[in-house]
Amino acid sequence: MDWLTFLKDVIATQQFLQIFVGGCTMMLIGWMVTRARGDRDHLPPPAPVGIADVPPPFLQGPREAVDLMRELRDLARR
Amino acid sequence: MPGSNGGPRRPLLPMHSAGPYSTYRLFEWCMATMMVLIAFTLAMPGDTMERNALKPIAHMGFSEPNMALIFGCVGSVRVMALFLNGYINNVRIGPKGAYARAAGAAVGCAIMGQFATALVYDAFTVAHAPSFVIPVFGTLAGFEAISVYIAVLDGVSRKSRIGKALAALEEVRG
Repeated sequence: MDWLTFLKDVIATQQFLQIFVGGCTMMLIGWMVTRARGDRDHLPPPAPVGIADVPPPFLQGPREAVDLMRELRDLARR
Repeated sequence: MPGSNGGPRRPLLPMHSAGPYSTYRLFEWCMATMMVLIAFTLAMPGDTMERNALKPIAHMGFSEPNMALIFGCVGSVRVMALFLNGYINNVRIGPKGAYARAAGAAVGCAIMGQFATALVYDAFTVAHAPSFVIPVFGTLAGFEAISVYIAVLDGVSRKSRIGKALAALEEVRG
């Protein structure tokens, strides 16, 4: 049972815990990166909802430009 | 009519010209700004990193000047990447801004996780009471991981038609 107390003493040090949590964080980051790369390659791109995907209050200023671009888009579609 | 639907009411945030790329990155803007400001405050003299719980971290090498250096570098790189990513978006320049954002978010996630771990350890051993900063740092770490995902997902070289046409023109012209 001596090695168990030794193991407990090793695990309960703050250095070990910090490094352990750092490793878990790195694994989480790596999972996020790989998941994002896979999603980027295999999932379809998001649907084109509009000219610019901003909430409507932000579109109050360049309204004319947006409408002009919508008309151009419709013309190009025909 | 297009121009007559506004009225006197203005939006709270005027849309920057990098706006469509930045409105949904408010958390990354927040974290980048926070990193720069943390760097400034840590660079000031005195016990700016409140060392009761974070003293072991400071002894492990992340002292105040080192933390100020890391936070300053990473935060300014993130601000630059977030600002420029709306502009540099053609065929010639790849998605380096998104990768810089992802790296900065990864660094932020690691550091916030370390701080949260140190505070949890302090709560169990020294203080015998949890600090309210534990959920703050923990939540920041978690959402930084999510912004790593978003940044890598943004790292597509979006080849617009104008960018493709410019590249083709340059190829023809030689």
